[in-house]
Amino acid sequence: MGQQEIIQLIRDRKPEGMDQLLLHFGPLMRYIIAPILSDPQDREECLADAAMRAWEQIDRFDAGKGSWTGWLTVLTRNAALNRARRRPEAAGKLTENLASPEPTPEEALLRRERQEALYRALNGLSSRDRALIYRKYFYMQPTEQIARELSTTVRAVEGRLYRLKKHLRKQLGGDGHG
Amino acid sequence: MDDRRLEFRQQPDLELEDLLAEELSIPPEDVLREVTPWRRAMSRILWGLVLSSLTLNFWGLNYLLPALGHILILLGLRTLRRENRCFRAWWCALLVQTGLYAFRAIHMAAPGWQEFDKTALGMALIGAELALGFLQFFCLWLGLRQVRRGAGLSPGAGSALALLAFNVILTALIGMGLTQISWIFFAVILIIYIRIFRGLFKLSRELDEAGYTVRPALVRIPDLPLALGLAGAALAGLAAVSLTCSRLPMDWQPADPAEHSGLEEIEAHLLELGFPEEVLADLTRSDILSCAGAVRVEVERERHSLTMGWNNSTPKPLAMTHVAVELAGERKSWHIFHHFAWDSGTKFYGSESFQLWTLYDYMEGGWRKLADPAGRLLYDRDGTTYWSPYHSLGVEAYAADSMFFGPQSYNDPMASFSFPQNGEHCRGYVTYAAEAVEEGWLLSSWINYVHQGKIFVYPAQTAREWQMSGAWNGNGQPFFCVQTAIQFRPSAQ
Repeated sequence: MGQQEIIQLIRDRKPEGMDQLLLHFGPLMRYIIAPILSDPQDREECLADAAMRAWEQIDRFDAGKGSWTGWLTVLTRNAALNRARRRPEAAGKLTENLASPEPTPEEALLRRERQEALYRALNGLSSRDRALIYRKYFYMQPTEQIARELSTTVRAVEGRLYRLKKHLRKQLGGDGHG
Repeated sequence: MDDRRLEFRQQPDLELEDLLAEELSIPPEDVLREVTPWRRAMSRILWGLVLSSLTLNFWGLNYLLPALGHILILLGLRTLRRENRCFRAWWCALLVQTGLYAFRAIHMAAPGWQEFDKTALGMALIGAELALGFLQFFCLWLGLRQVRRGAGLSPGAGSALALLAFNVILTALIGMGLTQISWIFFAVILIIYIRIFRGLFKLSRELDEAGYTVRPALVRIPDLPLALGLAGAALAGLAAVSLTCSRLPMDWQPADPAEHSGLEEIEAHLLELGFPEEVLADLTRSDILSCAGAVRVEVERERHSLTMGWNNSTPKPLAMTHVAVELAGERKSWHIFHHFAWDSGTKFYGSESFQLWTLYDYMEGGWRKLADPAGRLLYDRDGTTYWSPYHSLGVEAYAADSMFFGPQSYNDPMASFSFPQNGEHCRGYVTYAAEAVEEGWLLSSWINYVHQGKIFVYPAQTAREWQMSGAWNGNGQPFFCVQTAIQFRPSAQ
């Protein structure tokens, strides 16, 4: 069954849509959840949670603004992060890394500017390097997983990330700039 | 100075990592496509299969593309090798096939590989390589089905099965002797081939969904160093085999300085008749003795360049001297000598050869054979002269498609040999004897001498094989043929 048909089934609130979503996009959702949640039970619950969000928020999906895979990826990742944040052992680490839920107007402005600068710097990278940054900081994949999927060594991934971060720091006004 | 920049410089690592974790939102489409454990590996395998099955007979692409394809399959499959049993089996078969492929590729840099391929062992190795190829297509089909099944999708993967069937049928047709095909048949095969690969790429895209369940194997060497290492090892193997095996084995030995003792009278007589001194010095004792009683000597000297176009400044490193010696007797008998001498400094990379068009073969109404061709090779080093018999000298029967005369059958005396790389004044000669059956015939004896001008010939070919293939001089040819003769009418003294 094609992607459009699955989306339509969900929009039409047909239960088959949920089955098809899990059948065709379950592997992708599991793939996104796995690096964020280590507990298998958590993962399964998160998958159900994310699928339910997709079901409920399907009207927010606009094919003109982005791909289905992108929308589902972000939705699943957010579900996994929310669940991870609720876990006591991960809470401290993840909340530090995530934006405050209610930023002040000044913080929001600052954040937008930082975001724009970051995207400008990321756009200057090659597609492969950009994907590496996303793997590490958006998908939160462990270095070993990245190395496996890119047919390279852990050391090579670490080295590449180090050089990319150095380059990004420079682009964002870090080392050597001021 | 911007405050934010200052702040960033104070805690650069922590700041950047936090910034990335906070601010990265929806990944761009290229990232969404790239981040999967499946697509990269599978794309390599599929492109590897496409390249491996392409045969483009120009610029060496018939060797380069399959080699590149093989490396791509290796790189792709090594990350998927632990995914299921079928991919594991495919990986094992691929490793064995890589060994056989490397052996064959490197072996083809050594002269004589065609003969080896005709032996039982050679045919067994080719058969094993073919069978392993089929096994891999089979494993591809089963492996793809397992990946789909593992993700809860219907097995499918019919295009992989079609690829297996296509290759089996095509190999069977070639095995049954189908070498010449019509354009229509070729077009049908091409369409089927394209459709199969389109199906495979489509299947791979469909498998993107299931591909997220794949867990690639960790590798010890990154792709690029591995690919470069494999290519480097192959090139080193080819170079080593080419440099060490391209020369024909010769039996060089120091010449006996006293070889011509006691022949002074015959030599003086021949010199008096005009026999070239430098040629006479190279003859064996028996060849000089065979010229006893000579009544007439005719000589033709030429120098030859090794390029197609030439002018006055073109070097001509090959000196050819043709000598015809008439002996006394009731019937007119002649000893023909074709002597060749290379200038010092000429590079000899692999093998040399020549073909004779003798009096008795090409003017058989007027001439009859008295003695088979014979001769020897010589060179100097550090003041010592070395000589060797030819690696082979005898009549060769073969068929070739001549660019001038079309398909032809030949039955000519041919010689093959190699000169040492560090030899000075490399030279040699061939001689035979014929007698006139009828008066008035032209004496016309030809030698077609082939010199290897390139260090690397792949697949390996000796000068003799090149000559027997009916090839001729041209740009890019690794060999160059000098065609020369002695021609005169004996009756027109």
